[in-house]
Amino acid sequence: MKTLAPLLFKAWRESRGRFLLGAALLAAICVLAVFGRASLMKVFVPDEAFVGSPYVGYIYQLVYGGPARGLFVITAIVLALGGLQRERLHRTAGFTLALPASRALLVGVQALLGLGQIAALSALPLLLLTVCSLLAHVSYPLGQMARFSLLWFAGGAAFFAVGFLAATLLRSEYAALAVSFVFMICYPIAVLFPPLNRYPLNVHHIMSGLAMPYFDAHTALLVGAPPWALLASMLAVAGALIVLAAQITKYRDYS
Amino acid sequence: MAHQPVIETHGLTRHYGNVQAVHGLSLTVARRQITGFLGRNGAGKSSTIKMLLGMIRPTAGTGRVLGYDIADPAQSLQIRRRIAYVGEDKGLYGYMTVAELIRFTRAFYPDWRPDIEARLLQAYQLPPGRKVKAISKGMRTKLALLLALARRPEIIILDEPSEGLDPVSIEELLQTLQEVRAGGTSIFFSSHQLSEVERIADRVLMIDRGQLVMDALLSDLLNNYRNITVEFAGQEPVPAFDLAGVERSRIQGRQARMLASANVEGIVAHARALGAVAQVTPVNLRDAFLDLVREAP
Amino acid sequence: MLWYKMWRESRVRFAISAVALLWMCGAVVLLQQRVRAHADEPLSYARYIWSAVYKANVLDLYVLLVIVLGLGGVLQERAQGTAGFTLSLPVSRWRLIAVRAATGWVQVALLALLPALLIPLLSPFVGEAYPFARALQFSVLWAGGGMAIFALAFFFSAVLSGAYSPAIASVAGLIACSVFAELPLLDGHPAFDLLGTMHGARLSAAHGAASLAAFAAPLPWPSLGLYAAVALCLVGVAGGITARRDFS
Repeated sequence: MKTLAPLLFKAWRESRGRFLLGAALLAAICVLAVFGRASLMKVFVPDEAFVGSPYVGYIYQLVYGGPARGLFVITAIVLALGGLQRERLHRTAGFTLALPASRALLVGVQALLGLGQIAALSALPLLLLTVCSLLAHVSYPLGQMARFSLLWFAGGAAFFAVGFLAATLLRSEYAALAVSFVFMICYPIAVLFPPLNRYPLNVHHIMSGLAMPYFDAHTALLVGAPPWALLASMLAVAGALIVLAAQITKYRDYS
Repeated sequence: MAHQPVIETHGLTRHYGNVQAVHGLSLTVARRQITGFLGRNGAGKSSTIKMLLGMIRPTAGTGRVLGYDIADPAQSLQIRRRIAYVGEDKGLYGYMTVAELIRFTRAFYPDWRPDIEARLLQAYQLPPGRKVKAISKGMRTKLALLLALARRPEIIILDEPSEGLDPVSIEELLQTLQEVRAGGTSIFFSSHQLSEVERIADRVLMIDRGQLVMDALLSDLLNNYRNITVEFAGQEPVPAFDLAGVERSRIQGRQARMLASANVEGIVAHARALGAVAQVTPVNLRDAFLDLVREAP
Repeated sequence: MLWYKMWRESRVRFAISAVALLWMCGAVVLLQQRVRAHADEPLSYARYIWSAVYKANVLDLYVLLVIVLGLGGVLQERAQGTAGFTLSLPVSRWRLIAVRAATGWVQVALLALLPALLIPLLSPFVGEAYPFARALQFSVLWAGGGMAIFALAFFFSAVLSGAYSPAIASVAGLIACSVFAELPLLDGHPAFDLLGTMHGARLSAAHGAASLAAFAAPLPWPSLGLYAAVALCLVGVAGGITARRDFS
């Protein structure tokens, strides 16, 4: 366990630039959304677009179902990249592999930190929207934000796991990014084909609630109980992909 | 236990597609000795070292380091707990400062010696606050050595340790390695620099095209190995010298050149019996290396 | 041989991008019956292709892949230890930048052309037709916008030292661009809506076409010219930064 802290530190140093940049940009969208609502609300929420509070619909359009979610997904993918394949390119794999730490531990720590970063990013809008809305004398339901954070975390973990596996499989650092982006866009098309089209498999929709039974599109609010089974399945798939990446790393030669 | 080799391989083989990097390599590295691992570029030195460290898997054969199986991931972990490795390219995390990298590495080794760390940090004049990517290659090598030595390993494996170092730094490195050996640590290092190996190695392993071509104590090599040049006056074909003690022979025109590890008198007597003139000269490591690994004309 | 170097560095990304775009376009054509049958209102084939390829999914993919193509360069080479070799070549840094940018722009243009090659070719197999000329118009829009997006990623790769941070910054830049383009302040300036120009909505609206997909109006050359100028400026600034930077 003594080796966990230094490995976490290493993983943090390798990814902190990406994480902080993603967090800063996500924060900028949230802050801009609240304080720039006078100009942006008319554009993003035309009259009668939503029933109920226009501010709720506006935040959904800009943050939970809009550009902020897109940025979050891309940041989640980018956070997954790196690892021993990239270290091989940077000629540090020899030093890392000579450390008395198993490859499973190396992979596990990187995944653990990445998922922690995704949890932090998914909670960021909750934190910022709460504070900024308070300062701007508007309100967005806390429960909604917490539930969206949960959806974002599970969806972000799934995309993270795909990027993680791609980074394990592919030697070129940019090829892994390209493949992850391809997956992010192609996958919703792929699930339109039978037999996949019978199940709610579109992670983008799961995250935003779009076309999901737990989301009311008229009010832009999540309704009913959170989709626990769906969230658990997504986390299980993410876990399985990370375990697969660890197994591949375990048996790979790093010459 | 003290006489058991720290490294031993049997028929160790590694193929990359159709390329045979290491082919049936059987070697041993003795405890508390400095063993030089020599070979041309692409002879299989780095592949062998990477197999010993568990970075790549052998295609065939077995290997043990400190008694642990190199092919077993769990045992490989034990190997890495007890040895230190300084890689060919001295790849260290460029984004960490010197102090951060030392702190990072220290956490993996319970036997870490802060006194050695402090002494070497001062001796090598490493700047603790500077990022690793901002220090020179020589400084990086010294930092890699500090990280290797402060953990008090049983074996240090170094891959081309003097690569990129200036003469003063090379001198310091060689002195350090001798001091470490005197402290009971076994050293296994690959190098192209024959003069360095000749200066500090106790034993020399020579590898060519993935196979061991020489395993000798350096003192034996210098005392017992001889170059024998045999010149034939007549026109009859020069016979092959397939005799005991002949390690390598080469025929050029009316001359046969041999590297002999033993039976020098017998070989000379045989040459004289054939009517030839034999000349015996002592060998140095460079001669032996060139004789053993140079392509036949 | 610089061209060869730039091609070797980007060819895997380019190949992945080409295959993915072809697969997406193929899937959109093959799924046309299923999707159109479930549409809220009757959807012509041309409009379906526009909404699935040129306006939405495939355009998103193209944009992201163009960003990936824009990543790399001497700053990233430093981390891999090859910057020394590259900078010791007897060519100026400006030439390195120019060749990399030109290679990238050619790849961006080729990727933009792929839907125009595949969709008209594949449509008859599903009993539909899609004119090549119209597809080519969209390709020009994509290539023009793609040039600016590539230059944005190229610029961030020269400024930010992390391998992946330029990708996040480029995506954020595009999001900012599309948000600001929606502001009433920029209403009379359709050129500022880069993504809008790329999917042809602005063009169509400007010419008052009833169906966005049915446009055959002249291409928005001023906008495309602006994107090319912006792209050249961004690459120029990246070149200036690279030329002045110390690569220790």
